[in-house]
Amino acid sequence: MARIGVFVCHCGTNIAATVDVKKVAQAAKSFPGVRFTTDYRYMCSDPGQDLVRRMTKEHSLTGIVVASCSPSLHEKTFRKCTKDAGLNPYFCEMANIREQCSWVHDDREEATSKAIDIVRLTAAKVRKNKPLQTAFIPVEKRVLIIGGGISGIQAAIDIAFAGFKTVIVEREPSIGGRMAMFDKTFPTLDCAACILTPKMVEVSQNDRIKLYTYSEVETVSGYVGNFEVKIRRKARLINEDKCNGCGTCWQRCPVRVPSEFDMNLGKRKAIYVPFPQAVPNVPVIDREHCVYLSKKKCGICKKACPFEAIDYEQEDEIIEEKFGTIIVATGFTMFDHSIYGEYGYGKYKNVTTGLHFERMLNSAGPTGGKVIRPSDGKEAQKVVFIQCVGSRDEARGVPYCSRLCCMYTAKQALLLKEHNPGAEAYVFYIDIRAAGKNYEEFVERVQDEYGVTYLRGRVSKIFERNGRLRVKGCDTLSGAQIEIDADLVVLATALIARPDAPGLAHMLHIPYDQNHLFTEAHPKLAPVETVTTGVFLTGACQSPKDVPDTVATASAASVKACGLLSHDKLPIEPQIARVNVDICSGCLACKDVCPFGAIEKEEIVDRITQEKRWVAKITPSLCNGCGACNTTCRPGAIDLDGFTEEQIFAEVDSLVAGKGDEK
Amino acid sequence: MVEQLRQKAKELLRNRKVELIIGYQRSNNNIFTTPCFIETEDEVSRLVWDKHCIYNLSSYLKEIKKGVGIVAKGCDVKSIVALIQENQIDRDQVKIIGVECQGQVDEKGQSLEKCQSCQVHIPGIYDVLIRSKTPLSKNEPEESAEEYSAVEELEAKSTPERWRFWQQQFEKCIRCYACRQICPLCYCSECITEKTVPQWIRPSPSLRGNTTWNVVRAFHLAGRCIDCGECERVCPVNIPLRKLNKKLQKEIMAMFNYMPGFDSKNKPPLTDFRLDDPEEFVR
Amino acid sequence: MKDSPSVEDRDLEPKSSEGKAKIAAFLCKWCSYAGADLAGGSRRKYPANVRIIRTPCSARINPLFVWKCLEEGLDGVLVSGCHPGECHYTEGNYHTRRTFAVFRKLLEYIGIESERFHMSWVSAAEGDKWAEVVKEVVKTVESAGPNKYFSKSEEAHG
Repeated sequence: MARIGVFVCHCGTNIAATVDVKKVAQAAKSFPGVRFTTDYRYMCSDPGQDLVRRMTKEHSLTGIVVASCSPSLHEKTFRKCTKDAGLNPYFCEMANIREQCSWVHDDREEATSKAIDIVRLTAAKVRKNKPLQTAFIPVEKRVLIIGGGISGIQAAIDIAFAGFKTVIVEREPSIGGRMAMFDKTFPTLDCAACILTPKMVEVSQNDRIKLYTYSEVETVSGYVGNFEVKIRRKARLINEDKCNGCGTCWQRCPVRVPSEFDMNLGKRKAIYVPFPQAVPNVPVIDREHCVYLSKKKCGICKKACPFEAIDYEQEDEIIEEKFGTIIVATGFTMFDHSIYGEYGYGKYKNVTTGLHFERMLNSAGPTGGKVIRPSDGKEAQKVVFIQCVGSRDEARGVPYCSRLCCMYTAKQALLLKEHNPGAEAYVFYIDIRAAGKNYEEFVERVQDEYGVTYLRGRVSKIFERNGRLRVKGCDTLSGAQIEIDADLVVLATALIARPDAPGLAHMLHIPYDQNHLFTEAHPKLAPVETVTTGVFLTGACQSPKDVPDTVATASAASVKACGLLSHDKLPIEPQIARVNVDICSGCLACKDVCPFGAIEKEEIVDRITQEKRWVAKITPSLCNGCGACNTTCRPGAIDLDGFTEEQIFAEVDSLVAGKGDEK
Repeated sequence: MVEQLRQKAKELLRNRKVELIIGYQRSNNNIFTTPCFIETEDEVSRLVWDKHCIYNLSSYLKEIKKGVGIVAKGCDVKSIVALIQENQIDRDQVKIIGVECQGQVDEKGQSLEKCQSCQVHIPGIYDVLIRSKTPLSKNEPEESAEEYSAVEELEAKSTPERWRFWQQQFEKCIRCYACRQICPLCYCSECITEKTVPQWIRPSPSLRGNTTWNVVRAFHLAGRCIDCGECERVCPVNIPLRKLNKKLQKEIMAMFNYMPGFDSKNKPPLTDFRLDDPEEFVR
Repeated sequence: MKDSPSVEDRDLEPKSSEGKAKIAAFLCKWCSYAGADLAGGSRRKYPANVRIIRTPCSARINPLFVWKCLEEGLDGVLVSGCHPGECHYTEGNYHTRRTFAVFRKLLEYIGIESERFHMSWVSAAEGDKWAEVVKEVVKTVESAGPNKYFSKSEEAHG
């Protein structure tokens, strides 16, 4: 028999100014099952919570309704105090009469009447609540980091320092990501490789960090504390244990092909290490271009290798490992500007992008640090930089701002002048976004001290003329049309999500937005968490960000990951679904709809006929409590604890014509 | 065709491919048929086949665990496909004795409405096929015109007119559940009508309860009903149930390009989704 | 039973008075319910006709609950969830979308005015949108008049 207590909060004047709280408490007296009602100024305060505890004991309450603010604020608070009063915490529900009543209506009568309805609805639900028990699951104390760029590297270092083991899975032959391609970083002009490589080395030498490079995550199943991951270690065709990185093999390789790391501005061999500071310093064989693999000729590298490390027969290896948490650090890729006809559809050799320019600036790059025209190799004397190519363009690109381009364009213009003081640099911009520490000062310096010309306007057309590029744009501040005959044009293309981001999101059961950037749990308060417990985000895969922000999110994600791992057992929400096998006829429609693969077929012996039959089986630790199965089940064999058929039915019932309910 | 049928049935039993065959036998009045269950070779002479074989025998498959042969018309085979799709029977458990059907008639000898727009004179799947010696007369129905004309007629009415129409129909319902009992896809061991906690549908006949029952059943069949028409045939008060079920069949075809009863590997449409499903009705 | 309130004390609430539509809204707790909370936080005013029932995901909202509301006399029903692609449970709202795409056709076909059932995507950040949705839904439901599908005397027979 229900004995429900209703506690109506004034919330100072937040509720009481609009809703007649005393009337609500009075009306609640006649609701079925309600034994005690009261009103109080601040229910969430200590005395307010104490009131709940005392009245529960005094009136032997079996259910509690707190009519106040939104459950998203204080459901935990009041469930805890219900528990302290000796009652299962799931017998407590909140009636939201503030955010969804007193704050959104003006008329006192209407608001009060609505508040009464809301409390009636909640009390009706509580009558059908059942005691739910929190279960616990063990935790595997290892972190999987997907992606070995600066964010993955930083996260690994932090986690290892905290005392936990971690694995980095990186699809390229070396860790380092995009940052390894940069020349110098803004605003300090530190050499990117110089600040990155010590961290890369630390990762390779740390006992707690395992590196799987040239590898990819193939499948992920399981749940927080117990992720089961299959990793494909692609065959490098080199035995990592034997190779010592001497480089004899790639020095002797006769094949030259464009180098991806150098943005196709330079060449690499068919057996290659992507860049000199690669970690691990073990080459990989490019199957497509290797003469031995495609035509069974050559084989020089194998013969030359002093350690017999080359193995043409090596195969991909699938390994299975268990992890407690996962950090996604997969980074970004660049927008393909060939959609812009006005910039030449990607056909002009001398129209390049920011990343191309980085490689040219880099003294270890394909041009030895000289800024040249890719068409003929001559030094570029006049360079035009165009910002916002693809960014802030809802029609043909992405709607958002890529955050970095203003800064790196300024940096690139500065470095151009440093390499070639006689060169001229023009920057076409819409706005300058220099919000970071010392960023604004840096841009000012570039404009004042280095004499880079900033033109506020867009470029309407670029075309080749007399061996140069005629850039037609405008300067809206002076109102003039501008035409520049440039040697080189550098487009600051947008930073976008990788094409396989949605696939990874599905694998990890995390949501992504319309730009395929992974979605954080809360844009303000939980920027590195996802709604899937145990999966965290860092770096540009969540949204474009510069190195300081990336490192910050990497450290933040590591703390979150370590926080989970510091528990020996994790509680799982008991609001999960259950199957009544007596009703289940094994159609498994539920299995089809479950987003988490928590349902499978199970053979049971029927209680009555003693014959074998198939039914649905839910794995509690995999169930996230969405209730899709519950809705899909036609006979109602599945019910979702916390939001059962009875509970929701009771809420609906309470809204319609009043009925006399039995206890 | 009957001789062929009996021969094949005999073979299946003799070779122990099946332990039971479900088919049609002549009924007492010597014109119509009733379902029959035969287990030995000498019983095959009971099997008949003509235009009075109107039952969808696949309803019987649900409870049978052993190897079973079943005489099935094109429309019946669709419900067998649906039962396989929904894990109620295994494909290898069933030997489908497909029969080429030129249309069925009711007790008055009138061609059944569903036969007029039939496109499965030859069943979609079968293990054995009994073909007619005389070729099927090229009687291609004007398919889409026929298929949904009854539904479209109702759609053309105004909303209040439709309400009145269906209330007049549901008023007649006596909640005998014959529609549910005969339906091959109503296989739930405990139907939602039996649930009392909570009680979704009041059991005794009333407009409210009858409407709820019919709405629930129509919705539970959405994307699954293969339009065998048995429910309408058995309804003792002649509620035009096909008009109701075909409406959802039409909508599901239009919105999700899905027709049930053809491929058992498909996911039923209401357990599936596409990223670009229609949502013009969502604010 | 000793403890049950007497018939006079029993709480009897009229289903709806003329002009004051009563609408049930089923909201998923991660997006739409949070969006409604945000509307409150931003003090966006909207009509008081809607009563909210919270579910973990819009996929938990069985169309039969919607039918129950209409059968029992509520004037309108709103179902609201996360935008596709943003579901907390990754895929729940895709199922909701399909389910109600079909169910609303059934409702209309048996003669329930299309003004009575509504669906929306409201994210946790869309407090303003929630207020607008409620305003539009109330206006539309009211245009269909009070729910008179089943008379009260039906209860005596049923």
